[in-house]
Amino acid sequence: MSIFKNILGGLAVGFRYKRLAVYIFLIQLFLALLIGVLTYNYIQGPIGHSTNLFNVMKGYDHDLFQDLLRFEGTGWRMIKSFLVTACLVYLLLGPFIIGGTLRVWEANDDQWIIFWDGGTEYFTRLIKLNLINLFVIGIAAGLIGFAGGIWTVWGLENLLSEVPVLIGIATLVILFISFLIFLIALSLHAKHAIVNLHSSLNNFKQLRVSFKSIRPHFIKLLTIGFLWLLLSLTLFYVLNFLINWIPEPSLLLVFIAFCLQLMVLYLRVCFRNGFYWSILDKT
Amino acid sequence: MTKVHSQRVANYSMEVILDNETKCLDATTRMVWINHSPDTVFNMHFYMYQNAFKNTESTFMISSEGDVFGDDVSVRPLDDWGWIEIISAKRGSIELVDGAKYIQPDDGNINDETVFQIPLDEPLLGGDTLILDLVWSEKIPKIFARSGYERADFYNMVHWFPQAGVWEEKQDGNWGWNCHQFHRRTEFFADFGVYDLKLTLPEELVIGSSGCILSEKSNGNGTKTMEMHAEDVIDFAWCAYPHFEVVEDQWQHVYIRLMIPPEHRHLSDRLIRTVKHSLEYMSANVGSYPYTSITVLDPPLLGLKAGFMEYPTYITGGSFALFPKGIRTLESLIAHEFAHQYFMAIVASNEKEEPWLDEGFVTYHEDKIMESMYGKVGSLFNIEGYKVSNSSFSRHEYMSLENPSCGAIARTGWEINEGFKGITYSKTATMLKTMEGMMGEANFIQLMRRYYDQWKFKHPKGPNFTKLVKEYLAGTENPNAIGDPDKFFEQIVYGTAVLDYSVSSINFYKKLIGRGVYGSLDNKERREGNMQDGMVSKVTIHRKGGVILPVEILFRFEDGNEKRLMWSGEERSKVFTFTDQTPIVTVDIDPERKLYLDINLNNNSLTYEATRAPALKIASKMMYWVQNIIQSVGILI
Repeated sequence: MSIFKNILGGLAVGFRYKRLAVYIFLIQLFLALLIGVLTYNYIQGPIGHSTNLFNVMKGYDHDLFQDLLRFEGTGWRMIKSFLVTACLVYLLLGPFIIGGTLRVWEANDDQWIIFWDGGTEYFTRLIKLNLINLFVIGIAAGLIGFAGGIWTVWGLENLLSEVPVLIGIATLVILFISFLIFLIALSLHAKHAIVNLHSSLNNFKQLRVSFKSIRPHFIKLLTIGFLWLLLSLTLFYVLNFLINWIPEPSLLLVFIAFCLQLMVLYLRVCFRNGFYWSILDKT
Repeated sequence: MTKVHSQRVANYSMEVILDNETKCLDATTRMVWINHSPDTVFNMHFYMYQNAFKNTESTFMISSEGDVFGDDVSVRPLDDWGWIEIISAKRGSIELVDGAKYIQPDDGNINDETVFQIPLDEPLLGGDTLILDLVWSEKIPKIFARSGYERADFYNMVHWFPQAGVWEEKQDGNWGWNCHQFHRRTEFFADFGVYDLKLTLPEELVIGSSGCILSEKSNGNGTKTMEMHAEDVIDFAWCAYPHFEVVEDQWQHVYIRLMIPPEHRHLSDRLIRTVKHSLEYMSANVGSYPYTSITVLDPPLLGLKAGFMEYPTYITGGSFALFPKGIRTLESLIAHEFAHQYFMAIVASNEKEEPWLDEGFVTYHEDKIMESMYGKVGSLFNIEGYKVSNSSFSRHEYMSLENPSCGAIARTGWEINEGFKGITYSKTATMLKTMEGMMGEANFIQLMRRYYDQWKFKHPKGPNFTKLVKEYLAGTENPNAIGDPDKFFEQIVYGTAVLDYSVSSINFYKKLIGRGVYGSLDNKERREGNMQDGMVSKVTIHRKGGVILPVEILFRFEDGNEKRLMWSGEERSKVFTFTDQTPIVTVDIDPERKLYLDINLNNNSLTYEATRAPALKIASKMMYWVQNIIQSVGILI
């Protein structure tokens, strides 16, 4: 029951701090907009005058995109590299966003200045903490990937059926997600101590303290994490289905679908905030 | 089957014992071979294709460059190689094997032992029948190119017995053997006949095979003997595995037998449904299926290297547990291999010399089967709104080649170094779709039916098909539907050029008449002219590729009027000029997209005013996914 309340609390917090969600949403939107503009120019430049382009209004047209990639491949490569850059920039902005989020919750006020203060005050420390996080995630991914590879090769060479191999891989994926949830909780706890409690411990000591603090809640954290994952995926698939279902044969319907997409993304930000709050509340 | 469909030139009665421990076969064959030619035969040529897997010096291995479908032969244990040997070949009581030898008609590689020549004691005159008794043994390899065994006693036995080559009339009018060595990419060319196989093997093995299983008898010693029979086929294959589940079904006169491992059982409905639909489509649009059975092998993952292949009345697929529904490569593969029953097994062109006549024709029909089953949009992939049709994928495989001009469609199989799939399969399929577009679907189906009727149970060659097209078109309302058929095939089948038409520009200006100074020196008259008389529009079309095909061009005017013109495509550049009340706003070359071979469809049309909605739609979708990706990545920190 407490888990249920916790998730409801998370949802309430996620939706209560509307301006906080807007800040995060706009940062993401800005990065996506750059790629959107690039994409628009990439399409409009070479084939904006082609009637073939109208086929897109009915849905995905494989011929159109393959011909475009074949003859205008350079522009597409630029978009892909920009996408990687956007992800890296967002990762770099991560400490600012999470710092701001934690401070807003602490102050119970989602004004921009509070968000800014929280994001900038311990920005460098949080970046270091994130680097540790990413390093650990990388190591874990490598180990899990290696184990998965060994299991797959062994299984395919020695077992009659691939089903145990698939089960093994699914188990490893679940293990990895569990590890990620725990790591997110650990990192969040440490960041909360730094941003809101102004902890003077260095990052490693702080992580150790946080680890001791959240360890007793391991099972509950995993349960909350998986429930949020389930909730987010359900939301995503339902709304994505809705977006795909909308026909977009005219500019007006394209605009309506675009607005719906923005709404979905805003909801996802609210869910993200709710998830973080739930995790933090439980620790 | 009671009806005799073919000449039944080469007929085999085989008794085979499988030693499951040593993975060896001990066998005898009585071959009854009829010389249907007017010429005399002095020796027999046999395919001994298991010898391709004997060592690294075979032509097959050399052309594989050390890698056979992902299998690194340098680390293959010696016990995993295979070979076949004829111990005795008797005509009556006369032993012929002493004078026999391996020959290498294609490349002179003396280490290649995939073609065996047995001299006859007495020449075989035209119309005579040869009865030859062979004793042979074989070491089955661990699977190489679909043939062999895998652990857990999985067998797929293909190219597994000594089989006669084809005695055929050559271009110069003389007769001779067509019996090529085993090359990496070519497999089939044999005469039709009747096959009887008596196979003794361990009792626990479950068998699937070409033709039908007549009987199964336990020998009381842990083995059983099975009798199998096939008629009017060019080859015979079988598989065995102790864990097979057998799913049986029926479509009209055809018994369907699916050999499937338990872990794939949940896919059996998808496979059976595809076989039934393929039977339905091919029977309705090409010709009736003459056999009474079709066996489908869905190999366990450990035997996947046996998959993706076709043999008469026996096909092999490829799947894994939980194969996603929206990815229909599973069904597409079955449709492809089934279509080979028509183009390879029945219309038995020479796959070694002219692979396009079977792989290309089959890919075209695979696309048609799938699109008739799942619709023209999304027949191959249908994932989260992203739909790809089979014919679009085939075209993509061709036009996305690094060099779509890397070779002609009509090439000898073993000489193809580049673009085998993209050209032989996909360009041919796209060419046939282009022909369909130009001729009309109904006409094209009639053409295919006629090709099938005329060449079933025979060995057609490329020129037989092109001649048939010419003859067929001559009898239709539009004999020039594909332009000059000779020129069509010369450019597209025998040439390497690409087809690419494009609209370069639309320009227009107001037509002005009657303005200026008129009259003589003494009697000048000044006129203002009339600027409302109309617009002059100029459209420039380019032929960027080397292929010339007649094409229709649609010109749309601002007031909604349309004009359609045919252009021969002869010139590299052509300017069309129109005078009308309103200017041209849109030009569309080949508006119905009949010329699917065009390697860039995006430049086939031009609108004077750019349209923005589609690009905005794509950009907004892109933004949506980018933002989703950013959010997902961001959750980690």
